[in-house]
Formats: sequence, structure tokens, C-alpha cells
Amino acid sequence: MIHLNRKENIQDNKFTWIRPLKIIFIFCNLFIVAVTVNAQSAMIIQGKIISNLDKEALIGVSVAEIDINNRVMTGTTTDINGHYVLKVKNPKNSLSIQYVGFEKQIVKINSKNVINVVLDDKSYLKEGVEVVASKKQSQGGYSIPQREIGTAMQTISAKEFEGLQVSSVDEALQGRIAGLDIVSNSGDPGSGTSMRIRGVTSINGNSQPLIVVNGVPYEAQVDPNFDFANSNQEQYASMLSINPDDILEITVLKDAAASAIWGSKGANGVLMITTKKGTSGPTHLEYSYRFTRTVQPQGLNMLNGGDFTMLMKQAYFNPKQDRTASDIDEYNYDPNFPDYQNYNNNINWVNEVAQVGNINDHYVTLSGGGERATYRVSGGYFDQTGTVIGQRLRRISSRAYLEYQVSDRIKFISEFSLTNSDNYRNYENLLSIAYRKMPNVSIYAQDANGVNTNTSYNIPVTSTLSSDQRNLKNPIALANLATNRLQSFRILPTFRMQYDLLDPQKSMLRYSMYVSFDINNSKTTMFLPQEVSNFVWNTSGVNRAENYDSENLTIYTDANIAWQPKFEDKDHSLLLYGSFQTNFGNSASQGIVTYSLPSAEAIDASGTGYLASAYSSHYPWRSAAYMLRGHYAYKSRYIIDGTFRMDGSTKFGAANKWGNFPGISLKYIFSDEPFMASAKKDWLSMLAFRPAWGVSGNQPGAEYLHFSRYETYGTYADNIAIKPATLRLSNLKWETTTSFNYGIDLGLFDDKYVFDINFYKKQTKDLLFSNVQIPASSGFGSESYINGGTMNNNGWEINFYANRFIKTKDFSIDFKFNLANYTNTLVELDQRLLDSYNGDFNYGNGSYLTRVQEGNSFGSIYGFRYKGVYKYDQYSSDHTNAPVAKDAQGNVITDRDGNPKPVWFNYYGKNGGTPYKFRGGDAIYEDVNHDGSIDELDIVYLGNSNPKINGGFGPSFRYKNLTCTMFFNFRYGNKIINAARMAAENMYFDNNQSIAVNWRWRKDGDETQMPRALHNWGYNWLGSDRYVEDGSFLRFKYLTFNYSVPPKLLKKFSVNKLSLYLTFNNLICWSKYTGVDPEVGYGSIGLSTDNSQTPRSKDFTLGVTVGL
Amino acid sequence: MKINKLYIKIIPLIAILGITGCTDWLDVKPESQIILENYWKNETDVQAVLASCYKALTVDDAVYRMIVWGELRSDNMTSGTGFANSRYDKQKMLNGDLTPDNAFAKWGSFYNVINYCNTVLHYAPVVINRDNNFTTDDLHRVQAEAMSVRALAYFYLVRSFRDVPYVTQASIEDTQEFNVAKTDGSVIIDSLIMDLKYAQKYAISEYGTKANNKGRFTLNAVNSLLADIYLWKASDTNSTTKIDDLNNCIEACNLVLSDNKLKLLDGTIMYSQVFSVGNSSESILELQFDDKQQVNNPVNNLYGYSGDNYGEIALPTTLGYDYEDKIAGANSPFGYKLTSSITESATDIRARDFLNVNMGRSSGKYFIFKYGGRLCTELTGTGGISLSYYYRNNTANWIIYRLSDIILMKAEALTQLDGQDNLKLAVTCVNKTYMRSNDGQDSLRFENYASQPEVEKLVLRERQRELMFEGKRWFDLVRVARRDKSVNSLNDYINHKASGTTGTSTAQTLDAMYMPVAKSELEANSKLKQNPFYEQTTSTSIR
Repeated sequence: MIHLNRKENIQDNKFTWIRPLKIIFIFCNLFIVAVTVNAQSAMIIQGKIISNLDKEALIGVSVAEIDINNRVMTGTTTDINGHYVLKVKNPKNSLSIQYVGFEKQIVKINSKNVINVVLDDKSYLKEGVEVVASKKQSQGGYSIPQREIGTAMQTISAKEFEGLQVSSVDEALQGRIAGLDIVSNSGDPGSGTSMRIRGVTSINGNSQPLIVVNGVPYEAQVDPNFDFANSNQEQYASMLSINPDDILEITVLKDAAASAIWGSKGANGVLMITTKKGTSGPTHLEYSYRFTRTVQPQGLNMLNGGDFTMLMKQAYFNPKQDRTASDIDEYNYDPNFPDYQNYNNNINWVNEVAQVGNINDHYVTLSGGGERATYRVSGGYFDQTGTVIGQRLRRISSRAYLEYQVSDRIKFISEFSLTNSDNYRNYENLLSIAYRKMPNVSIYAQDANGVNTNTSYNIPVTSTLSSDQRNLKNPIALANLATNRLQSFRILPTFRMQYDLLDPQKSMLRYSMYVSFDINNSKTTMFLPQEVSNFVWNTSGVNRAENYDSENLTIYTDANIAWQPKFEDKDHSLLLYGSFQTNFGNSASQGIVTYSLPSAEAIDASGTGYLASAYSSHYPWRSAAYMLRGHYAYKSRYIIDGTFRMDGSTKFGAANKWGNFPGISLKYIFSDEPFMASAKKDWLSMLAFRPAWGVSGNQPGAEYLHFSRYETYGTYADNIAIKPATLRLSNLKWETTTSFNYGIDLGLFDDKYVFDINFYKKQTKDLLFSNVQIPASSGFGSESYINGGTMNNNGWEINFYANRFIKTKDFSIDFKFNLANYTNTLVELDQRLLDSYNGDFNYGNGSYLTRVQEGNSFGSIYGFRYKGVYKYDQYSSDHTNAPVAKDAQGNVITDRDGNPKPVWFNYYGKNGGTPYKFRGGDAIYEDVNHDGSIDELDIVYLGNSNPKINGGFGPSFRYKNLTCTMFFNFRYGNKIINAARMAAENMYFDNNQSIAVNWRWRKDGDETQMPRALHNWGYNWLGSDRYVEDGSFLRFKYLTFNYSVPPKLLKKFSVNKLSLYLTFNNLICWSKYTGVDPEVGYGSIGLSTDNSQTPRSKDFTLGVTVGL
Repeated sequence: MKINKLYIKIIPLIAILGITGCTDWLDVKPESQIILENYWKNETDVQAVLASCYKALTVDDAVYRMIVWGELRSDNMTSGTGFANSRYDKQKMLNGDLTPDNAFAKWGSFYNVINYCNTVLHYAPVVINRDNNFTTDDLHRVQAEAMSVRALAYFYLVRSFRDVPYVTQASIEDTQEFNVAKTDGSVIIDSLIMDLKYAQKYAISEYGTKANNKGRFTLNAVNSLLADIYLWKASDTNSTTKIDDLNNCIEACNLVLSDNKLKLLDGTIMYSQVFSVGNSSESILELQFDDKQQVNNPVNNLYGYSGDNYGEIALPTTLGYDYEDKIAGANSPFGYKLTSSITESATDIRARDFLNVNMGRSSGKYFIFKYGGRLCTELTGTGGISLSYYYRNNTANWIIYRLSDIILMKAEALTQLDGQDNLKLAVTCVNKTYMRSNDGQDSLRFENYASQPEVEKLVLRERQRELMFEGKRWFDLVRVARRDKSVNSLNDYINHKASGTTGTSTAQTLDAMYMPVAKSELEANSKLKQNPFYEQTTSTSIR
């Protein structure tokens, strides 16, 4: 039967690589071929296996016939008396006898009929065995010694965070990699973090590094039509949610010479995750549990009901100085007002929506294996409640890794991972509502006696209250009644095969391949019941159901061949590698939105109601890449590496379909020179120089850009409408980043002190900009992508490790330190983009003038200088702090009659703006040109958002089995626009404000820094240095204690591992910044704007790991 | 032997690695969209893009602008219950605080329409060779329709901005030059007239279904638009062809009026038939809405609808008229005291039907009933008839031209021609729309309006009464200002709505009557120049 199959399948060997399943099938057949050759004359052997210690028979010992390639031919196990009988195929083969806990033996058969074997107990040999091997950096068949790597990369092994026990990959990396900036997106469960390696190289939005898991690059392929609710980000986060227990090591590729191997995907850097594999030995069971408690820290303190209504009445009164303007029922506390009871409260909305978040994370791992096959299977359950009510994320994940060594030359690996998550999210940002909602309104409708009823209170639509407040939904009702649920299901099976075409002992010629599938389905269900807002039941805003589904399938294949000849002269070593990769798949999504659904009915958008919108889309994509790599080392001290990759993608038209990405790196290990021998022995354990150059790329996030596409556009008067939807982009090119990296490796005193220093220059050309506005007169609002400019990122990084620099028998200290900085310079930018960034001053409150100039860095802040508040309304000799114009000497400018000249805002009414005369209590802005008019001529440079330096450091202490690790990170010399404070102090809208406004100017002569309240009036919150603050900080990021119970104590409970740990996150932050958190990311043109009203959460994690 | 074996193993691997023809493999086409190369194959393709031209007129952005550009700044509108979301832009316009960053300075939605029309005009001729069923006559009809829709879109732009980029090329790929400078409004108007004259030749009178007959450009609609454009052109004092333009306007009106299928409805059923049911016999062109494809959100939000009776916009109190108590606001066109003894429109049914009388009484505001509401006639016990009002229309068609408009356009053109006869004729026209809504009243007598300015004002008042909230009033006032070469009378009218301390939206110069070019548009298009009014520095109007 097998023979028949073989014949058929060899004939059928027309390789159709569009169907990768077939590949697997073919290689399965190759395996069968291999097994069935060399069948020769058979004979029978028998014997007994005993232990060397007590000479007792061993039961269940595996006895196998193996050939010269260690391929198993037949096998059996011993019976209750230690006997075995085996029919062998070839008397020239050997017997392999192995048993758990005993030394394996191989005995030549040599035509013997009886073979008795005494096995040695391994437990006696265990002590004192030391294995010396050089660590290798492996990428499939391409594996070179770590010391010969000439590119900028940094690896963190599981050992490093075993002591730390982090809960996710990003946490493991935080602060440990020089040049890697990680900022949490938000505190909502599942929202993930954003990572930037060596600054932002692309402005088009996708700046996340590529994630490679066990050599397979997983890209977040998202249907462009499917862009609701950050699903992209959540997908990225789910990729990072690989349980840290499963991770062996993480390598970050930082320069283009290293990331060029990922070509078009590598421009943002690469994060390579290697997972743990099974190890041969007895089955090992490990269970770990983590409990995390997260607290939403106190953000801004907001006004209570009484203070708020007082503020609003003043804010309405002040502009018109008219009582009727401030006569608003809801602010009046008038018992005759029918809704009086609903507006006489003191609700702290922020406290109402906040809760303590808990995370329970269970994880079980089972691993083991024999000589030929190893396995590792793990699974876990993760349950998180957010720090805002109504949030809950549950996730089941599982991962399996099976490796089967068919012979010394053929190996199969199968990997499988599955994540199923169910995320109940808030329908809207509840915290944002809570910070704005008026504190005097009640949560639940109150009856005439002020007693809460069961229904939540919504300000009626007929209320004369400003729509800012009126239409703000009730956050408590939103959390309890509205639905926003994201269920996702992701399966990633991978099949690998590795085949040595030559005898690996002589010369390596290895063919490897993999096929990997990424199946990612998600479903979003949203429903907004009428009870949470003031709209009547049949408006389109409420009783509104939204269902979205998306299905993505991506198939990655890679076939590569690596050749490493063995030279007579051991000074030479060479490795050549060629690879062909494909990546293809399709994405389908559909969505339906209906409204006017009966409230009670289940949340199904296909129910009866009005159809608001419906769409469905389906599209495939493809890309392919050829790659060649080479590594040559002479005396393992002069090293050259080269890479060339060619990427083709369906995202580009015929002219630019293929992109080329070369990379070269050199390394010179100076300390290995013979004349350095004495220094090496004494103190200089490593000194190496590594210059490298490389090109990597980036592609747009959308498909089919090179087509002019038509799509359906509903109907008009029963005629089907189809419209041209896109412009054809015929000239779109790959965005390419060329980088030079100069690195130095320095190790002192047997690598007790290690320095890793890098300088880099990166230039990104043909920067991709998405949705660039083009004249609307073209009929298209924007062009989906353009190549718009050139940008430089130059910087340096220093990593320093002190490994056990203080060491006694029981005690040791490690110390690590990293420091990095970069400057970002705009070299060239499309005129359209420059114009749109460099708009005119809009004479409005709240906005800062932006300036982007070629040759300058991003992130410069321009605005007015804030000088406090006018104490008096009318100027007189003893009331000098009044709104009057002063000349450069500080003398008041007067007219002929001695009347002082008032200060105006935008006196000339430029840009359609309206002039405004400053009054007492208004903000004072410095009149730089002393003309009595505050306008764009008074705008000055206020600082830059780029830090001068940033980094992190931390020691770890080890005493016997107790480890304590600390980590600090810092940033110095950057400016932040505190927009959150601006929103909480402007007293311009009907939104609640922070308690700081209680210090506002109320009457003539008040001395304060807080201007008077002006509702929809005046210019008290122009973009000025009032809100620009120094963002330098030093943060005690985490403190971890880890204790492993000594194995001796555990033995009697037949437990072989028990460790406990406790981590505190975000302990203290030292900063002069008045906002809630100085760690703020960068906006589109490098400005740091802090819109956050809550600081990052403080949490602690308690964990336990038990191994059996 | 060994080497042979090696080759046997390597060859299939090389075959795997060396699969060529990848560029073909990378040629994937979208599955849920059609690419240009596969489109424009037959008549259906042409008709579908043509439908998009209309569809693009029905999107919220476009209809909002028809109302906001056409009426928001006029005396007919003030804020109702306060604007949601984008309220600042509308509120600022109401306050006369019009700046280039106002969202309503964006004109993109009309250029979308124009681009679809241009695309039809660009590709339709190609289809003749591809589809035998698509004849030259079919092509001409399609061209007539596309040119008419394009002319309508440009006419909105010219009336709102005066000078705008005049684009007749279809936008297909990124290598085209999209930075187009403004063309003088009067030059555009002349081009539009040329296009419409072409359309007059080929436009058809009937499409078959009612929704198509009223929802698409028929010959009557072409003539109506042409009349409107001539009337606008004639208001340009620089025009040397003023008299010809006026006569052309009257001629175009007469062509429409001569169609006896178009009939003015009786005053009592006019409201429900024209605005609530839609596609009435006096309708010429109205944008079609329905609850499955396109709900009329702008009208719903601004005027009120079944979900929310309080529109964002209301008629100013000074222009209001309490139909129950017969109390007119100081500047109301209803119950208008021409002299102490003569009251125009004393019992005007339109004051009852176009405004929400009940809500006006309870809240002191005159909320809008036109479009959003439905009138219900009930027999009361004693045999009388009572009317109840309720809002239930969410999908009101938006009327662009109806017969009353044409009659009153003709009247307006006649007032601009010399001679008593023309003035008399104008009053006769006015009486047609006036009398059906003022049942039992005496018709307007020419003697009471003997002078040209008086007749002109009468026509304007009747247009205000008849076409209130139909996006016409501001353009009517701008025509007056253009003729006067002064904004004085325009400002007088706008000041009618001023009461108390609220700001008014008076226009300071003739340029100020037109919208500023959006800031974002100036940034995107280096060849554009701002409307001079919004560039200049001014120190007047200090608060």
C-alpha cells in the first residue's frame, strides 16, 4: 500500500504552491519514502534489560532498531520481566535502548541473537556536568554564532524575566531595550501598547514593529473597510498576548541591516519571539497563576455640584453682564422647577464609573518527550475586569509545539496556537463622559422627594441646557445597558519540515520549509438602548444595533536552503542561504447597522427596524519575496554578512511592483587579535566594531491602490447607482529606510561589565502619507496615499550590564542601564503637506500654531506667553494691573487726553476673526510687539517635545533563592502640551471643570492666576505657555520579588518547583509636570499633547508557579 | 552515484524555489469593487454612474449646504433648539461670524457631483462602440442629463462663492493636475447656459415612473434651471446683455408654464401634497428620499421630524405669524400691513401650514413645519373640520424647482423690464400663487403697488411666503443686492430678524455675501485665492 502511494505521489509531484496544503502532503510522502527504503533480510533478537544499581529488571524500556542515520526502523518495549523480543530488519543496524532516568545505550547488533543490557542510573551522573557551547542566533536554517552578529539587535532571554514574571510580552520588554519606546494605548482591557523602535520612521500611521513568531512574520492584515473600534490595535495586542511562560527569548532587530531580511515589512523594526520547545525527559507539568489588582488612580479633581453650578452661573453672566443670561433652571436650585430633585445632587461621576480591576491568569504547561519526539502543550484562562465599570475581557489560549526527529536528517515540527477572546467594552469612553458631565445632575431619575427610582436619568431633549450637556449620555446607564462586545478567534497552525540533503556531520546543506496559517475571525456586537440617552425611541441614534463580522485568512510559506561547507582550514566559515517566501490570503468583512429596534428585543441588527447602513467586502491579497543571505567569518574575527531581498506585492502597480532591500554588516572583533591576548586575559574580554548598512521598506496599508475602482452607491429613485470611488495611483512607490549603524561591543573582566553602544543614521525616503487632502474640486476629498517626503532619524543608544559585579556565595547584584536618544529631522516634504501643517493662526482658543520646516526637527511648540490675570478692569495709577497697552519700557500708552490705550485681541480682525477688548479677570498675554493688539505677531517659540535624553536603569539583587529586581525609567528635557488641563480649566463650555477653577478671578482686585469664567466668550485659553510644561520625569517603574522554594524542601511533596513572586508596577513618579502622567506619546508632527485625564494605573501582581 | 542522488533531490527543490511568473501571480483584482478597466462596457454602466450624480446630491453634506448656503443667513432663519455637534459652524454663520475654517465653506460635496457628471461625459461616448444597444440618441440624452446636473451643482457654487474652479475633466488618476485656479463666476454662468442649451435639445419629458419624472432632469427641469440662471445673470450689473437675459428667463419660464401637466394645487391640499406626499403635480425637480436608501437627515435635524419636533432652526419671532390669534411679528410677510387699510395675506393658509402653530404658541418660537410635518384633517363631532399637526415625515423629498417658483421667477424678471405692462403682468403672476393660499381674500391690485420698487418688493415678499425654508431666500436677497450694487437693502432685510442683543449676520460688502473659500481648500490648492473680503483687515464691528 505504501509503495503504491509512493509511486502515485511522485508522479503527482507537480507543485501547485497556491495550495499549500499540497506542500504538506508532498512532504508527508517524502517521509514515507524515507521510511520505506533499504528494507533487507530480517532476524529476531531477544534479551533482558536490568538496572546497574539493584540489578532489577526494568519494565517498559524502549528498544529500537536504528540505522546509521539514527532513523528508527522497528521498536518494542520490555515486558514485566524486563524481556524483549524484536524482529530486526538489518543485522548491520544498532539497537537503541533507553529508559527514563537512565543513560541511553546503543549496541551494534552484529548478527547477535541475544543482547542483554545493563542500564546506568543517570541520577548519579547529573551533578557537575557542565556543557560549554557558544550561543547561536538562529533564524530557521540560518544560524550563526551570537558573537559574530554585526547588526544592532538585542535579545532578552526567558531567564531574564523568569525572575520577573511579567504578564505580557510588552511588559517584558518595557525599559529593557535601548531605543524601544513603549507607551500604553489606554487602560481599557485588550487595547495593547504602541511600540516604536528608534523613533518614528513613517508618518502614515503604521509604525508598529513587525512581529515574528518562530520565524513566521505575522502582519496585521486588516480590511480597509473594517476600521471600527481600533480592531487593528486589538489584533496587534492579541499577537503580543503570547503567554510569557511560553516565551524562550525575544530579539529586537533595530537597524536596517538586520531588518532587511524582512524587507518591506521591516522598516519599523522587528520583534522576533521564539517560543519554548519541549525537552526530552519525563513529562513535566507546570501550573502558574497570577493575580493582578489594578487601581484607577485619582486623576484630576473635579468640581462638586455646588461649585459647578456657581461657576456656570458666573460663566453665563460674565460675557453679557446680564442676569437673564445665567437664568438657567438646571443651575438654579429652584424647588419650583419640576425637575429640581434631579439637579440638586453632588455626583462624583469619575468615582461612579471607576472600579478596582482584577486579573486572574491561570496557565498550565505540559512538556516532555523522548529522544525523537518532544512536545510542549500549554493552555490558559485569562479573566480581566477593567478599571472602568462594564469592562471585562476573557481569553482562552492554547499553544502546542511538537517536534519529531524522523532521523538525524529529517525533522518535522508542528505548532498550533489558539486564542479565543471575549471582550465586553464600553460603548463610549465613560471616563471622558464622567469628566465632563455636570455633577449636580442625578444618576437615577428622582421623584419629588428626591428618592432614586429605577430608571437612569437623562436630561430631556426639550431642556434648554446647552447641547454639550443635554446630549451627554448617562455613563452608568451606558455601562449597564449598552453593549459593545468584541469576540475574536485566532488560530495559527504552522507546519515545518527540515531536511539535510547531505550528511550534516560532513557539510550542511539543509532544506527547510514552513507553511503557516493565520485564521483570524472577529465579531462585534453593539447595541445602544434608548434608556441611555434622551432621544426618543425611533431616532437613528438609539435602539441601534450594529453587527460586524470579519474573517481573515493569511497563509505564509517559506522554502529555503542553507549551505554551510566544512573547510579544511578551520579559519574560514561560510554560510549561504536562499529563501523564497509567499504570503497570501483574503479578508472578508460585513457589517449591518439598524435602528428603531424594539428595546427589549435581543441585539440583532437583522431584526426589524430601519436599516442605517450595510456593507460587505471581500478581497484577496498576495505578496512574494526572494532572499539571499551570506555570512562569512575569517578566524571568527573578521566577519561580513550580506542580505538581499526582493519583495513583490499586490499593493503596487506594474511600475513599482517589486522593491529591493539590501543590507551589509561587518564586524571586527579586535579583542581576539593575537596581540590582544594578554589584555583579553586580564581585562578586555570583548572589543568589537560593527558598521552596518541596510535598506528596509514600508508599504501602504491598503490594497488595489493602482486601480481606479468603482463601487455601488445605493440607489436613487430605484436606479442602481455606481460611483468611481478612488483615483488610480500610478506612481506610488515603496517607502524605503536606509540606515547606517555603527556599533561597539565592549566587555570587561570576563564580561562582568558589558557595553553595547550604537550610533545610527536613518533616512526614510518616499514617506507614505495616507489620505492626503487634494483640492476638493477634483471630486475626491483626498488621495489615499502619496509619497510625500524624506525624513532623518539620527541617534545613539548605550546598553550597559554589570553581571554579578558583587558576588558572594549567597548574594549577588546585577545592574543594567540603558540610555538613548534620537533627533528627528525633516529633510523634505511635499508642498501640500507643508502647507497643511503650516496653516495660518486661526485666532481661536485652545490651538497652538504648528510649524513644520524642512531642515528642522518635528515637535516645536509655538504660542503666546501667559502672564497671569488682569487684576483690575479699569486702569488707574494704583490699579496698574489692568488691560492697557504698554510700550517696551513698560509705560502705559495713552492718547492725547491721557486715556490709556486698551488691549485688544486681534484688533485688526484678521482672518475673519472678531476683535475683542480685554477686561479685568481676563488672561494676560505678553504683547511682544507692544502694539496693544494680541495677535499672531505675539506668538513665540515655547519649546520642543523631543526629549534630550531618555533611558532606564535598575539593579537586581539575589540572595539565595530570593530575587529582587527594580527598574526605573526617565526622560529629560521635553515639553508637553497639557491639553487635559486646558479642557478642565477653560470655563468656556458647560463641561465640568477641575477644582483649580475655584481660584478664578471673580471680582475686581482678585489676585490669581486663573482667569474669570466666560461661557463661549473671550480668549482666556489661547494656546500659550500656560499649558506647556516640562515633561521630565523619573519613574520607579517596577519592583519585583521572586522566591523559589529550595527543591530539597519540595521533594517530599513530590513537587519539583515552587516559586512565588510579587510585582508592583508604577510605584512612584518624580516629575514637575502638573498633568496626571508625564509619559506622553508623540502626535502626528511630533507634538506631545496630553489629553489624558487619568494617569496610568498602578497595580500589583501576585503569582505562583508550581512544577510537578 | 551519490551525486546523481543529490541531483534527484535538489532538482524539485530548485523547481519549487524558482517558480517564476510571480508578477502575474501578484496581479490580483478586487472582488467587491469593479476596476475601471472592466467598467464602461454597456448602457447599464452609464446609467449607474448617472444615478450617482443624483445620489451625490442627496447626501447630507450636499443638502445641508443647499439649506445653509441658500437660506441660513437670510431673515428666514434663526436658531431653534440649538445646534447639535457642528453647532458652532451654523451658530457662527447665524451670528455673522463667518470664517474660512467654517465647515460650510467646504464645497467638496458639490464637486463630487460634478466629478461624477464629468466621468459620465468622459466615458459615455466610449460605450457607443462597445454596446450596440447604446445609440447616439441614448448618448445625447445621457449627456443632456449629466450636463444639467453639473450645471445645477455649479450654479449652487457660483451663487454661494461667485468665483470657483471650473472643472470639466473627469478625475481618474493621481498624475492629473488637480490644482485649478478660480474661474470668474460670470464666465462659468455663460458656460452653464451653453450646456443647458445643449441639454434643451436632447432632454426628454418623461422617464416613465413618477419618482424618475420628478427626481431627474426633464426638459421642464432644464428650462427651470435655465430660467433661474438667466435671472441670476441679469442681476449682474456688469452684464451688457441684461435685457436679453431677462427675456430669456421669461421665455424659459413660459416653456415650463406652457406644459399643462404641471398644475398648481389647491391651497388647502398644497401642503400635504407638495411637501408631505411629494412628487406632486406642481413639482418639477425634487431630490428623492426614502427610508431604506437615504433619509433626509439635514431637513430632519434643521426643521424637526417625527423623532424630534424641535428643529435646530426656527423662524425669527419678528417674522412669525400666529395663525390662531392673527398676530403678526413686526416684519412678518404674513398679515403684512401695506398701508393702514390694506393688509396683504391676512389669512394666509401658508402661515398655518408652513409653521408649527401649536408649538409656536407654547414655546414662543416659530418652529418649522414645512417638510418635516404632516397635516391631518379630522372631522369633528359638530361637522366641522379641524386640523391636527404632527411630525411624521422623515424622508421628505427636497424640492429644487416647483411651479410656484417658476411663476415668481417670471414675475421677478418682469419687474426688471421697463414698462407698466410688465409690472402689471408681474402682479398677475404673483396673484396666481397668492390667491390659492388666501382663499376668500381679494386679489392683489396693481394700483396698490404702482411703482417698480413696490412690485419688486411684493414679488420678493411673495417668494418669501411661498418658498420659505426651500433654500431660496438668501439667493433672492443676493440678487437684489447685485442689482443695487449695494448691500444696504439686503442688510435691511436681514436685520428684520434681529431682536435684543443677538448678533446679526449683516454683510459688510458685496464680497461678504459670498462664502469664504475653506481654509483646508486653500491649503490643498496653491492656485486658489481667498474671497477678498475674508482676507482684508477690518477694524469695524468691534464688540
